[in-house]
Amino acid sequence: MSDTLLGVKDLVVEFSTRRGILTAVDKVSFDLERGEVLGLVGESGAGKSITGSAIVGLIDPPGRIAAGTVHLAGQRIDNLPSEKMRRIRGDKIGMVFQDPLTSLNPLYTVAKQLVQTILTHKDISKKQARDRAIELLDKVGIPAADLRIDDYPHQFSGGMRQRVVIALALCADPELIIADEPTTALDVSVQSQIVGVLKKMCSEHGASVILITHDMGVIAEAADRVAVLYSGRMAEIGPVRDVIKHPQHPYTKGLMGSIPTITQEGDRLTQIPGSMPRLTDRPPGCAFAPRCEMAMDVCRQNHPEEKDVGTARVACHLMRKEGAVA
Amino acid sequence: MKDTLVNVENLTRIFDVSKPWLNRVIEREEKKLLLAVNGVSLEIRRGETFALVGESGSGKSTIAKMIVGLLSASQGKIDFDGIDLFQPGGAEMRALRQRYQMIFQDPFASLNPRWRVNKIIAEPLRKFDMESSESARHKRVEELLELVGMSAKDGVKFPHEFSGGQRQRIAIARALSSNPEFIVCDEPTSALDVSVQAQILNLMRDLQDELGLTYLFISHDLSVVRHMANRIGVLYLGRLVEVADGKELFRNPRHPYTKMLLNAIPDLDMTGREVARPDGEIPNPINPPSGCTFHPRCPIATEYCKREIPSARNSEAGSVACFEATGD
Amino acid sequence: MSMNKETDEKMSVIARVLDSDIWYSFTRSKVTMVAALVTFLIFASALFAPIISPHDPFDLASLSLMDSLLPPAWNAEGDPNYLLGTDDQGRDVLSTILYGSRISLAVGLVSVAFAAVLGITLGLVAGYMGGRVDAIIMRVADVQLSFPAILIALLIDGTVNALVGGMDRERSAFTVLVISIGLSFWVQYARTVRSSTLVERNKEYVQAARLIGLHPFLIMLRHVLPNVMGPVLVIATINLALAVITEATLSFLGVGIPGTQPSLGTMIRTGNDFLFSGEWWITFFPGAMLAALVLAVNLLGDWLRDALNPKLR
Repeated sequence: MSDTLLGVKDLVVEFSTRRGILTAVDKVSFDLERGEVLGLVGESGAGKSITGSAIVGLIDPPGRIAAGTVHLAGQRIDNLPSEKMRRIRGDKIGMVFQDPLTSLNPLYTVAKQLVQTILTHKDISKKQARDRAIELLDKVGIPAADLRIDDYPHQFSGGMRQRVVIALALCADPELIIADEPTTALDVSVQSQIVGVLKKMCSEHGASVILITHDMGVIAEAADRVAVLYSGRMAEIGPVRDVIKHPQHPYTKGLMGSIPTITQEGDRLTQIPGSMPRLTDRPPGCAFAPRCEMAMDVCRQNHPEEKDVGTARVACHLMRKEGAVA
Repeated sequence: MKDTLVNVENLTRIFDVSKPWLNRVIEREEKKLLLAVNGVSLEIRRGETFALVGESGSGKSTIAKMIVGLLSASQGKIDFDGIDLFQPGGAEMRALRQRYQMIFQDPFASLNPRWRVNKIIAEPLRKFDMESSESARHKRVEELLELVGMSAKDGVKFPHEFSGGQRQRIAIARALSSNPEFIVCDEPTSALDVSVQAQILNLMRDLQDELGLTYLFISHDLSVVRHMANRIGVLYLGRLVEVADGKELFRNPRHPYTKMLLNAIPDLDMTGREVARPDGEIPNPINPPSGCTFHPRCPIATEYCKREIPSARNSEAGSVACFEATGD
Repeated sequence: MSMNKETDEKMSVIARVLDSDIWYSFTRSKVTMVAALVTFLIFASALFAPIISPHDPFDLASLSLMDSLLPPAWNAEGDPNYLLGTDDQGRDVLSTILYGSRISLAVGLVSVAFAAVLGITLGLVAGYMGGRVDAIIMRVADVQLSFPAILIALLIDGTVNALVGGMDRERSAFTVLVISIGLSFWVQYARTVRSSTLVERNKEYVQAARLIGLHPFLIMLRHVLPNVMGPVLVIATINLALAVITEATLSFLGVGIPGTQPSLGTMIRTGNDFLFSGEWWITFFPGAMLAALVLAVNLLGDWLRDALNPKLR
């Protein structure tokens, strides 16, 4: 019995528009172990947020899951009726979004929101629920939690609000937490605090996390494994250390080279020419081929299969021969 | 010999953030003032990239806007190539305006959505009567487009037909059209994806080399600043806490706030360096802490720091506004 | 797919319109298409009234009291010459409606244009300049808003009549209507334009224009104005319907267009006197025309609002 919490297999998400059907997520597969933090990175439009929404069943029309399966703790959840899915979201999945204000009701105190959420999931008294809420706020690092719990969301600063949202997501002791760009709206010095809180809380609660972000720095700090998405497809997935230090896919290589770091010398950054194709005119074959220096004829015709390369899984025709290409 | 292009002295900007007069009278509230920029002095040398880093509320964008004249200063003085920017008459101002330009943060808001790219780039040319004829202007626009790595044919399109990176290129072309010497870049890549950010940063460096531009580069991202800047000024709550040469600042940060920012940078090289989580948050600028505004978060603050405001101490390596900082 | 750049460049204006989201949403809504058709038919028939109407209701020589109060043609006592019957002066109801909607639409269009120009100008200036100018303009707007349109119209009409006297009534009626309706509608434009201007003013493209020292007037005209016109278009469409109704109301109350050149409202008022004696057609057909016009234009306005608002899509 493996310890897989979440299994996503060949997930396809389509949006029907007047210009035809857009495949926003194209056959994405990955597994998530219990207690693991998986990073989903990609540029805007790479399909990372849509993948997250698809897992929790929050794709609204005109979008739909067109193919593939999602299993949570052995149960298939992608085809559940919305009422059942809603209950699973409440019980087993916690969510943290970029803008904390979308998750908090401005009209209620933090105490009321936390206590209510705890009470819907646990059969305990109001007093106990409140104690539990204070404990959670304390754990996510809100100073004087017993006093501040009766404040309204707008009385907290951005960073503190995001901590409240994390506490709220943890209320039901979820098995899976989906954090969609949780630090993007925050200041640099607060960002790393939030990443720290998220990481600590998940290991304490034994929850698995899908961390969706465009920021490789956040991934490097928080994730165990990372999946790199490009134009709705998986480019590379593997342990964070390996993907960052020894990226295999030409896109990941270019991406890592294009991030300025504080230790790097030299004047120019590695740059990937062009930009990610719009979903409306994704080229046939490998979506990265037009920007890839090493593209071969086959890349322009056939979409590459994912192959195991060392510890990683990579979708690139270059990987055909014997694993890594330097 | 250092050759100063822009000299900023004791620049201060106060915003009135109080409620309207009638509400104030009824609710018996005092006027609320926000000291967004507080006595900032700096000099930008010809041909260099001077970077201002800081988090939200540090006043970095306010400084940028005051330098290019989009905001008036409450106090202080800005000299551009020896000419006082706040004093000139009409004709002199017009000549000055040609010499500086700005690149904005959001490429989706910086181009008029109803104008074709040609017209957008040609606007400064028209305003400053820079080309003799319509066809000469058109030719210049095509050159500019090619200079920033676009096709001359892209001019007939509208901004919405381009990606974020391409739009930022168009914004750069517009900024370059009046042949400026000095360009203020206000977070030019923070709205872009990393792979596109690299393209834009490289382009900006190439243009600097080619055209001998001077940049004031505003950013919150220390890694980007490290890559771009010759000298760096660190802002905290409207005050310049440290100025140093680029490499020096990263090798030997002196102000505790600078140290905190550097420690918080994620370890992308996977060296195993422990990333230190900063303490506390930026205080509300309407009601800043007494003395040195950083003291509530500062690991080395003393009683003295809570009362007195440190002024900048200059040294060979730069300047630092801290009583306790060492490493001179 | 159709995002090909080469062909994009060569697309003509018509092709661009056919490819636009607006056109797409138009073709997707049956109600809107019907409303547009009805609006078009009413506008066309009003425009070509002198050509298509069977009689000239203003030609006093052709009127005969013998023909007055005839019911519609399908009635036993009807005259096939007068399809929708005749009024108390023997005028053909159908022809009068065609000519009447001409006047109603003219009043509506001109007063909406007047209100729009006034409101857009003041809103732009208030929003862009801010400070005291803004405060003064918007307080005037607040005061204006506290007077109902009809009250303003009655005030202006009364004043003008007192000054000009009954002689020029026919000539002044149109101007009085346009000014009074326009004055009561401009506030809505001013407020909408002001709030959009406040948003646009802080956008970076406006700052880029300020940076090169472009005159504020030119910035407002070239940069801000084109970008705040979307909501104005919606208001103008819905206001057209409102203006036509207001005109009808004022004419019904007797302060609008006089009976010699009846607008739809005047006709309804005239017919109202005969309603209880059984001559329903004199007021019914102009009323139905008015209702159809207002409904169609309103539906168009509603659709336009949704189509231009990306949040609702």
